Amino acid sequence: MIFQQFSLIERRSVYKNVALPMKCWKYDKERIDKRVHELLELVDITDKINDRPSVLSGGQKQRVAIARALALDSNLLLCDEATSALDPKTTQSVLRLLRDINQKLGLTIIVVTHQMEVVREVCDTISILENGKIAASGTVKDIFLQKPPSLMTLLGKEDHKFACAGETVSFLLPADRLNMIPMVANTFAADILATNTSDYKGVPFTEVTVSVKEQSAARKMKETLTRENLAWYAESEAC
Amino acid sequence: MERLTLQQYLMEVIWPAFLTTINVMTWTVLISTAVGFVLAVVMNVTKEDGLHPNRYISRALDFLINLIRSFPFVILMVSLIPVTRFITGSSIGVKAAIFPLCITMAPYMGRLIQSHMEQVSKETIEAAKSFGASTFQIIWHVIIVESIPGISSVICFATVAALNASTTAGMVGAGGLGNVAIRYGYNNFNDTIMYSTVAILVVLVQLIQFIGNTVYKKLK
Repeated sequence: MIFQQFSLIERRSVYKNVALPMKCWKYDKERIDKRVHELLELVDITDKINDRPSVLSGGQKQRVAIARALALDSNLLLCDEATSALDPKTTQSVLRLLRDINQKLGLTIIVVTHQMEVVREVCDTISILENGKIAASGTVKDIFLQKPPSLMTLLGKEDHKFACAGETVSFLLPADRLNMIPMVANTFAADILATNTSDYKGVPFTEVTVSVKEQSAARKMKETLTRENLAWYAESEAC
Repeated sequence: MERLTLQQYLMEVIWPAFLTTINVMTWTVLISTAVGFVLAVVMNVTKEDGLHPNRYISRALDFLINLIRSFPFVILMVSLIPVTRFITGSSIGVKAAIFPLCITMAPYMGRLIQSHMEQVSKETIEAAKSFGASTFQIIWHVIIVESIPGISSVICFATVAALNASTTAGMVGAGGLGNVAIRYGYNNFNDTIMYSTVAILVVLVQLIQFIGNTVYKKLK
């Protein structure tokens, strides 16, 4: 588990902080020593091994906290607002580290956050909690395309509807497929309403929202998008 | 009666009194810190949001501590005389002074040490819980480790308090510098003795505080 305020023991060196869980579980000294070095290498902070947390920056502290959380070989890492106290650049580097760990160790990471860019950056699936209940749940791309009311409330945005004319379709395009936009517009007589680019797990995707007047064209378009393996969401509006 | 010369005063009165003061002070600080430390740990563990909340123990301790703190020291010392005699074998002298001093200091120490333990971040304790540390391990590796600088400043504070309180302990014939200032100085109309004794006390307090500050900075 890692925390917003890092929760390291301020009066102990980085080494001892990372070693503490293993010490509590009575691992032998050599094993602890080996593991601490491994972990600090993994989170890339080997040069600070004998420093106290008070001389470290926020990002470095969180790296140490991650190393400590991984010390017992758990298969679940819970991040409680872990990047909320960090500046954007440091947030990025900590998130990159989390993604690395997720891939290298095959570790499940549960991220509790209110920062949407964090969700896009590291998560596969998302659940939105509203008044203690799960209000929406699904893959990150789907949820950001669907924009359920709970997400809009969370973002403090009005659920703005586009002027209704048939069916509104939103889909995500990777950067190398942007040439699909004119194709879509021409083939299905679709009006482009909005585009918006953001990174999902470090890869830029462009969200394109179009409106299609003809029902049949809309159906064909959705078939095409499915065939092309693209995430899409359609909403037909009654006006 | 002939007045003693200054040198005689120094060698025969002040020096032994100085040693007595140091003796009383040291033992009082050692014992009351140890007892206060245990009290602080128990209070910290049993408090409402502690590791093992226990309202009865917590309230009982609270009451006991407040009870002792509400006694003026002299009254407490006098009312404790039977207990003192039972434990130390005498109701006068150095040991007879140390016992009531410890009784009155320990609750203060407990409160002060606990207030420093209180300042250990809840999240840090939560983190320790998250990797499965036992209550004992949390106390030992987290709470105590994090509050050591605070505890050191409490000990420094207690040393000065014990130095002052040992003056009053002179009432049961324990002697000490404060006692010299009163008996040989104030009661004997000897300003030189009174102020020179006080001067020694001033230097002592400054010294203790200086050492305390240095240690605190080192530990921090």
